[in-house]
Amino acid sequence: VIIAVDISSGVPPYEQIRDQVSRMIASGVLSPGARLPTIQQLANDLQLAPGTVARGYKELERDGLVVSRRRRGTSVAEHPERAPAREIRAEVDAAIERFVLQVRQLGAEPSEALDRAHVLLDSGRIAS
Amino acid sequence: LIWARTVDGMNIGPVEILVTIAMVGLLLAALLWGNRPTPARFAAANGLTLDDETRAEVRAALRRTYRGRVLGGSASFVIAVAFGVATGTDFSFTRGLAAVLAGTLVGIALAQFTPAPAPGAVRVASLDARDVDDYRPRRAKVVLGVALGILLGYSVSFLAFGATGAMVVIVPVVALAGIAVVVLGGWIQRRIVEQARARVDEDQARVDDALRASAVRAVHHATVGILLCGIAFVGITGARWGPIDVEVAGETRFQLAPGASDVVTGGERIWWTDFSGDRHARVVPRAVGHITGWHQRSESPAVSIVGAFLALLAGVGAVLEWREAARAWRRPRPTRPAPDHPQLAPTGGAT
Repeated sequence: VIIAVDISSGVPPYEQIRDQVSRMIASGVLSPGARLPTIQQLANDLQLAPGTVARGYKELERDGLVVSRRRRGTSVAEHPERAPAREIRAEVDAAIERFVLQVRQLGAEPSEALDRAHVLLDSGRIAS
Repeated sequence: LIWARTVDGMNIGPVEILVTIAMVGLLLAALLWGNRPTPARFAAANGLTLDDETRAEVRAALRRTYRGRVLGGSASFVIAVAFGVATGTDFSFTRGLAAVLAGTLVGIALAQFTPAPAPGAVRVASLDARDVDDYRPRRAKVVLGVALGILLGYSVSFLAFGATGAMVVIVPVVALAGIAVVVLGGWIQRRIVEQARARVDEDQARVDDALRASAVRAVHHATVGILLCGIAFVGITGARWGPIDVEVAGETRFQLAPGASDVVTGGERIWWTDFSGDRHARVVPRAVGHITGWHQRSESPAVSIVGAFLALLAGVGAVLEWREAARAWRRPRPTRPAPDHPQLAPTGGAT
């Protein structure tokens, strides 16, 4: 499960972390009880300050999506609020529409763009 | 210039010394060369397939760790010997090995902490939690706990039943140092596991995990080895710590303080080295008689016997741990589920 943070965007990194993790919990990609990386690990991997990741985790905890325990780290709450299937489908459709729009605007060959998207989805990478 | 001298009837001169140094050097060189890490052996041990780029990265990482281990161990050993020469204390096997292991620990740790590449605007990371237990050998906690328990348990027994003089201070210091080493080793392992992961795709993650596991394993074995050196030290000290009864004309006439070594007798004279390294001599009046013998007295035979037994086992164990730390890169990482693929939210409903 991959998380990406764009520090050049106007959205603060902690909000990006909160949004992506909460989306993955809501969709069931992160299942109840799943352990999340330690603050230090995620901060090192994303090359962010530990306080930024801690703030993202704290907001997730406040929303009741994750649970933090002193010695066991942070994990997904046992009964997090799950998004209805309809909402998830709508988000995926919106993401696909953005993708199609950008492919058209850039004048890329649709079949080639789809092939590359397939490769990325299958390989586990988010960038070629 | 090395002058020839006679030791126990054998002539030891420059040629003998140079030959010995050369033989030891050749043996060390052969050992180091035979254990040189290569990407191919590392990949085979961990069931990895490496492309050219990854092979170059693995080679660089293995070399860094190898150099850190060898240089750290060697430098620490030289410092320990120099410290011994400067303070006039005899060379001790356990102290020498503990120094090598401590240097190995620090050298390996420093080799892992390389500066991360300059970050771009978009940064990606895996949400798989990395836990130290996933990287160190199975039963690592049990081994560490047992070793620390033995060190603390024997130290307390020795202090309660036999330690006198300087040992009242030295034994607690060794026991506390053992606790500190366990804490330090655990901290280093956590830092290695939490180090930034440069790439997130599955193949790269497997290689990265294997490299982390070999470093964590080496640190674990070095930590256990240092603890075993501590056990060997307090064990051998506990086994030998007691006053020496000196017999004159068949009767015990006086005692030497605990810690005396290199006892030599001749007629009415007795020479010995005290615990601080000073050489002493004592002359018995001729009217009293000749010195007929001496023997070490133990305040607690049980502490002495257990100490000798522990010293033997821990000494052998420390050498084996040192060997395992050096060979950590050849061992496969403990089994752990492969990282998940990134997934889009399911379109047909949450699962």
